[in-house]
Amino acid sequence: MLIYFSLTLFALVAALYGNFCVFQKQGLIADVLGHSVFPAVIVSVLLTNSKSYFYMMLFSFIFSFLSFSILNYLKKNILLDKDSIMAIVLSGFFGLGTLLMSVLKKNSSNLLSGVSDIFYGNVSAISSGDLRFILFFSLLSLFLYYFLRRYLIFSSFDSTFFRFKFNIFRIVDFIFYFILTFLVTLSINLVGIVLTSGLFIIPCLVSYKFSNNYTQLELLSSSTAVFSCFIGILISSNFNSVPTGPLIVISLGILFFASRLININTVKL
Amino acid sequence: MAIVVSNVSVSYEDYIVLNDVNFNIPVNTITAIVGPNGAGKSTLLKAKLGLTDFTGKITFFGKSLNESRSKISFMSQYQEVDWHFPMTVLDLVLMGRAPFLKFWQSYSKEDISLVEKTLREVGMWIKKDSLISNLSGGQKQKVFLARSLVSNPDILFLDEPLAGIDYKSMIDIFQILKNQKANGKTIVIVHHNIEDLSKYFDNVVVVNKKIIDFGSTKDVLKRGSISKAFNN
Repeated sequence: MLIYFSLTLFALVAALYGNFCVFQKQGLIADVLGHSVFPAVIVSVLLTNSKSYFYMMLFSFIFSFLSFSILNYLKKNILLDKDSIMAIVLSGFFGLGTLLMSVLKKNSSNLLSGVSDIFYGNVSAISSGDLRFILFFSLLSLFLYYFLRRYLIFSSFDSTFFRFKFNIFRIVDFIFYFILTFLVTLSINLVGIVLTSGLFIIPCLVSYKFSNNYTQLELLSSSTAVFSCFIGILISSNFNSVPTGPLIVISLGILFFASRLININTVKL
Repeated sequence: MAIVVSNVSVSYEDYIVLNDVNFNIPVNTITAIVGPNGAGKSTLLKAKLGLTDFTGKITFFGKSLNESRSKISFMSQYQEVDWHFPMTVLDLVLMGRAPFLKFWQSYSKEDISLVEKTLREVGMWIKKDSLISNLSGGQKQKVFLARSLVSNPDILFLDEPLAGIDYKSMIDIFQILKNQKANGKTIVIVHHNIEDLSKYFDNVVVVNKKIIDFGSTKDVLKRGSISKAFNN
C-alpha cells in the first residue's frame, strides 16, 4: 500500500512541476539532471564502497546541482540555444558516468549488481524507509507548490511582467530548480535516469489539448501521471524482471498518442 | 514632470545601444517614442522599467523606480508572451492584482470586481473564460491593456501595442487610452507608425541611439526631426 501511495503521489508532484518545465521551454532539463545522477551513483559506490541509498541520493543531489549550475553558466556565457547547451551538459555527464562505470567494473565488480537499476528504475528495490522519505518529500513539494504556483505561472507566461512586478523572481526560480533537482534525484528509483524526462514532461503534453485553463491542465496532467505510475508499479511488482520505468513511460506514450488522435483543441504545442 | 531621464546610456559589451539620453515627459500626457528599427526604443523602455542595466538616472514623479513600482504598469511586447500557455482572460487580468498580495494570500472579492470593471471598460468581459490564445490580435491587446490598468497605475508604458492589429481595434485602444489620460494618467507608448502621431499623441520622443528630438508633437513634426532620424 505504501509503495502505491508514495510513488503515485510522487508522480503527481513530478507532473505538476514538469508542466512548468514544458512551458519554460526546458523540456530537456529533467533529462540533464537525470543523466548527471549516473556518474553520481558510481562515484558514491566507488567512494563509500557500498550501495548505500543515502549516499547515492546525496551524491545525486550534488551532481544534479552541479549540472544545473554548469547549465546556467553556459546559458549566460555562450551564444547557443537552450537545447544545444542542455545536450552538451547531458552528454558530458553521461560520458563521465560511462567512464566511471568501466572503473567500477574493473575494481569492484561485485558492487555492480543492482547499480543497473538506476538506468530504468526498479520499485521492488526500494526499501520502506526510502518510500517514507519519498512520501515526505512529495508532500513537502506539494505544500511548496501551493505557494509557488502563482509565480511560476507568471514567469512561464510573461517573464518580463514577472521580473518587473516581483522582486522575488530570482528566489522563485531558485526554489523551483532546487525542488526539481530533488524530484529528479528521487525519480531514479521509479523510472531510472534514462526515462526521467518522460515522467515530468509527457503528462503535460497529454493533457494540454484538453485543458481550457491551467487548473484543468494541472488536474489532467497529475491524473495522467498517477494512472501511468499505478499501471507501471502494478505490472512491475507482479513480474519482478520487468523494470518500472519503461512500463510507466510506455503507458504515458500510449496516452500521448491516444490524445493526439482525439481532436478537441486546435491549439498546438 | 512625470518622468525625468538624465544621461542614460545602455551598452551590451562594446556595442552602444543608447548614448547619453536626456528628456522629460510631462504629467497627464500621451507620449510616443519613435525611431527606426534597432534605434533603441524598446531598450529605452526597458531601462525605464529597470529590465536592462543602464548608467544615468531615471525618476518617476521625483522618485526612484523601486519607490514608484506599484504606481507604474506596462504592457509587454507581443513576442515576449507564451501564447501556448493555457491562460484565460480572467486569470490574465487578475495577474495585474497579484503584486498587491502577500505570497500566501488569494485574490479577494474586491480584486475580482476590479477585474470585472476593467474588462467591461475594454469591452472584453464577455470573453472572460476564453483562452487568450483563441482571441484575435486586437482582443489580445485589449486584455493586456486591462491587466495594465487593473492596478490603477499613474504611469503606463506600452511597447508596440498596436503592432499587427486591425484598424477598429486600434481606434478602440486609443479611445481607452484617451479615457485613461482624462483620468490623469501619464502614458508612454513605443510606436512604429509615424503617420498618426499628430492624431493621438501630445508629445514625441525621437530616438536613434541618442535623442534626436523631443517635445510637443506639433513642434517635433514642424522641425522635421523624425525624417532625419529615419534617414540617418
